[in-house]
This record gives sequence, structure tokens and C-alpha cells, in this order.
Amino acid sequence: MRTAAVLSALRRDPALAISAGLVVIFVIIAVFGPWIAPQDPNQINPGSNYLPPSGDFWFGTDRSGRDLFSRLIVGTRMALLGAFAVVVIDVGLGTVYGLIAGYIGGRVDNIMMRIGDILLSFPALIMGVLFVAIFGPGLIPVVVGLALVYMPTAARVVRSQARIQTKEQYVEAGRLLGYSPLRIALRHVLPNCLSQIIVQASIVLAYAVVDLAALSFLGLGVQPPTPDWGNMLAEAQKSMLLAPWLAIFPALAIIILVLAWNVFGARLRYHLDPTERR
Amino acid sequence: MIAQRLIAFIPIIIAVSILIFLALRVVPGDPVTVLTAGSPVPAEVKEQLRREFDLDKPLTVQFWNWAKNAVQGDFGISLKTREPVTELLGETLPITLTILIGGLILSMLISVPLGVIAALRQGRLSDQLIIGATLVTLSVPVFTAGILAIIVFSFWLGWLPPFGRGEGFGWDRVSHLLMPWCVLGLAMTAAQTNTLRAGMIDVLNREYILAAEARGLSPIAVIRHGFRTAMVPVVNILGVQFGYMIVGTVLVDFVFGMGGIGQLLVDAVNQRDYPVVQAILVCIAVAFTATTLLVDIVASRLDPRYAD
Repeated sequence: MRTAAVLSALRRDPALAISAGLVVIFVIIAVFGPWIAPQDPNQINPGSNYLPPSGDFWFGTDRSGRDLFSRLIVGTRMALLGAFAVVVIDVGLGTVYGLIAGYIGGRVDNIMMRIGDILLSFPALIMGVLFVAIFGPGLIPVVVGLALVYMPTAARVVRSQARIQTKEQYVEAGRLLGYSPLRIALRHVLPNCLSQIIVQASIVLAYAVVDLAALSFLGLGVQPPTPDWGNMLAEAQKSMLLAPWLAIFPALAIIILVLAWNVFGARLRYHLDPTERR
Repeated sequence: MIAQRLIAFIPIIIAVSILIFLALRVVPGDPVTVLTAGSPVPAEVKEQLRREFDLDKPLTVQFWNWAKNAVQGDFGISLKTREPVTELLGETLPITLTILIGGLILSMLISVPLGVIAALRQGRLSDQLIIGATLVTLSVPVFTAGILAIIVFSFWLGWLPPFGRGEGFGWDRVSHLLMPWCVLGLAMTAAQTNTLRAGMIDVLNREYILAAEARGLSPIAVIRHGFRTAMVPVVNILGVQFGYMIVGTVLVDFVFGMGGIGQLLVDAVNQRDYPVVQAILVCIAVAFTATTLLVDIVASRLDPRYAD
């Protein structure tokens, strides 16, 4: 029955169908990238450096004659894996944090939200920079930094739902029946926050893709030679006049992924949340 | 209400400063190795360097000294260049602010008319085109937009210089700033347009606007009536956006090689120049928090009901 509803939404909403299709394609590329790519992304082809796009090298080659198309395909994995990691950590921590603050309430809630405010006083990318300053460049510090900065927002969403839910009669009933707070929080409060958590996650994913690419572009995230759209763009910037394709294709890859995800997210929220339909 | 917010503001600033300070102190490796670039130096020299940079004292004393000087505008000395950090900030901050303010003005010039038009023509083609366009600009990160702009406008068309900050106050300067302004401005337009549109639609359906229309006020006068209230959410979104603006300016600065705060920060992180990193991060956090506060105050002035 749910599947039927999804199918009919896809049929009636072409924007949803196209963006969902693109997202699925990106995920498939991310998972199976190394098998799809025509070449090893780090294979150096002597004498073939800075070749423009051709039949042999669809998107051209870079400074060391590496196949840009293969590097982009394999780089998809870094873009999505990093962003998914940010979302999982962010939503996981935020949910637990928000549930505890919202369920306990009072002074604990107050202190926990103040700590959240402190984390929120950093723009996301700047927190990424701080984590790189502490732990050195790489994907992991950058992912953790971003997740921490997004966490208070997710926590707030869950917390405000939890505050509302804990005043509901069914929670009161559960309490009278002697259920443990943990059981009430997980079995009763959490399911009612779920749709908002999904919405939050869908927003953060797009931000995370952009911020991760930006940090790699600044040379602070994924380090070369591991192919990543951000660090490919940074390298391409050095030879933009000579080989503009090296910059254009990674830039388009980022834009198409983010656009597809933004449209998908917007349509998803429209279908999930009736109050958005105006 | 303002006093209350001000009181809440100060502990956050202190907490953030302590957090950044401690975070940069748990870094593996000794600042002295950064100072001496890893080359072997006699123990006395190391000892003297430690004293010079306060490293021989306990953390609490270090922080107190740093905070005391920072409040007076002295952020210590760069480990790499030995220049006062305040001087480095003085060299880079003007260009960063020029990019930021120019981008902000440009985004308002674009988003205010677009938001009002979209709201007035809600659901029609022009509205849908505007919404679609904002979704596209929202999906183009500033650094990709910057690089594509350089390829098109500098290398293919040859209209604008690709890098640098330019000289003087004439065309040379403007030609260098034009692309950074547009890239940053367009990136901020989407959220402003959407918020203003939603605010306008909300206001236009209120009774006092309907009454004004019924009295036969001209459409322009009606829009003026509603505009003030509709601006409240836009002012709010500006506060939220300030974070993206800072990040956007850092990236734009880096892409176009303007030599602003962004480049200084990235270089300092790569060279492990902690005093510089610390000063910039604290300044950004303070500016960010202060803007949030300012936005609250402005919003409550525009619409007194917002105060509670």
C-alpha cells in the first residue's frame, strides 16, 4: 500500500521522479564506481597529459595524464560517503541529545541547549577548519567537525517534538503503567519525531556535500591523490586556462548532485508534510 | 529584552573563546617546533622562545593573558612571520569586508524586487520561474560558481581579470571585485527571495492590507504598507545567512586570490600558525554571534510583537 502511494507520487510528480532517478544513479556510481570507471583513477598515462575530451578520454586527462572521467566516477564515493557519514553522526547524536533534553526538561534541558548554542556560534565550514587545525587535514576530522555543528539543529527539532509528546496522554499513560523512561522515549516519543528527523537529514545532506567539497577544495579535506571532486577542482584551478575541462566537469558534478538532491528534498518534504502544500 | 540578550551574549563569547583556545592547545606537537621550522636549536633558544610566547606558564595564565590583550586589540604574534596578528588582520580585513558588504548589497538589490514580484504573482509563470531560479542558485556552491565565472568571463570572453584585488578606487579595483560580488551576491539571493516572498504572501492576505485595498489605495502604496512587516523574516534570514556569508567570503577570497581573511586562515591552518588561526576563529565566532543579536534587535524594532 505504501509502495503504491510512492509509485503514484512518482508518476504524478515529474520533478520528484527525475531528481529521485538522478539520486539513485549517483548512489549506484558511488557504490560501484571502481567497477564502472574505464581506468584506474590513479593510472598515469605518460604522454597523454592535458588531453581535451575525446573518444579515448571522455572528459579529457589531467596534468599526469590521468583519466578525468574515471577520477570523477570514483570521486563520487568520497562525496556521498562523507556526506552520509555527516548525516548519520549528526542525526544520531542530535536525536539522542534532543530526546534526553526534551524528556528530562528543566535545568538539564536548559544547560544542554546552551551548550548547543555555543556549537551554533560557528559557521559549519569554520568548525571544519578548526577540526583540521586540531587533528590535521583529512576526511574524518572534517566530517566530525561538520556533524557537530549541525547537531544542535537536529537536537532542537527532536527536543521540541519530545517536549510536545511528553505532555500527551499516551506518554502519561505509559508512565502510569510503569514503563521505563527509556522505553517511552524510544517506543513512543521517537516514532512521532521521525518525519521531522527525516526532513532535517535531507536538508543537512545537501549542506554536507557542499561543505565537504569546499573543505577539500581549500586543501583541508580529502587529500590527493585520492580522487575527490573538491580537491580535483582545486588542482584544476592551477591550469584553468590550459585545460578548462578539468574544472568544468567536477564543478558540474557537484552542481548536478546538489541540485538533484535539493529538488528531491523539496518534493519529498512537500509529499511528507501536508502543511507545506499551499 | 535587549539587555537580556546582551547578558546571554557575553558568556557564549567567553565559552567560545575558551573552547577555541583549548582546542588549539591539545594539538599534537609543540609550537616551538613550528617556530624553529623543525631544525635543531639549542635548549636556551627554545627556552627563550617559550618565554616569549608565554608557553612556560600554566594554561589558565596563558588564556588570561591572551584574553586581556585580545580585548585591547592585541592578538599576539604570528609564529611564521613574527608579525603582530592584529597587523595581519588589518591588511586582510578591509578586502574581506569589501567583498562581503558588496555581495550583501547586490543580493538585496536582486532579491527584494524578485521576492515582491513573486509574491504579487503567486502561482503564475513569473513566480514559478523565480522559484525555480532560486533553487538553481541555491544548488551552485560559491567556489564552483567562482571557478566557472573565471573560465567564462576571464578566459573565454576576456572581460574581467581572473585573480587579485586590484589597485586604487577606479575601474581596476571594480573590475577585480565584480565577479566576487556577483558570485557571493547570487549565492545569498535564493534564501532572501524565498523568505521575502513567503512573508509578502502572508502579509498581503492580512485584513489591514485588504482594508487598504478596499479603500482604493494604489498598489504601490499597498506594497509599502506590507513591505515593512514582510521584511522581518528577511532580517531574520540575514542573521542566519551571515554564517554562510562569512564562509562564502572565505571561499570567494580563496578562489579569486584576493588576499583576504580566507586565504590568511587557510595558510595559517596549513602552516600550523596557531595565534593567527585562533584570532580569526574567535573574531568570526564573535561577529557571527553579534550579528544574531543585532538581527534580533532590528527585527523587534521592525515588528514590536517579535520582541516576546
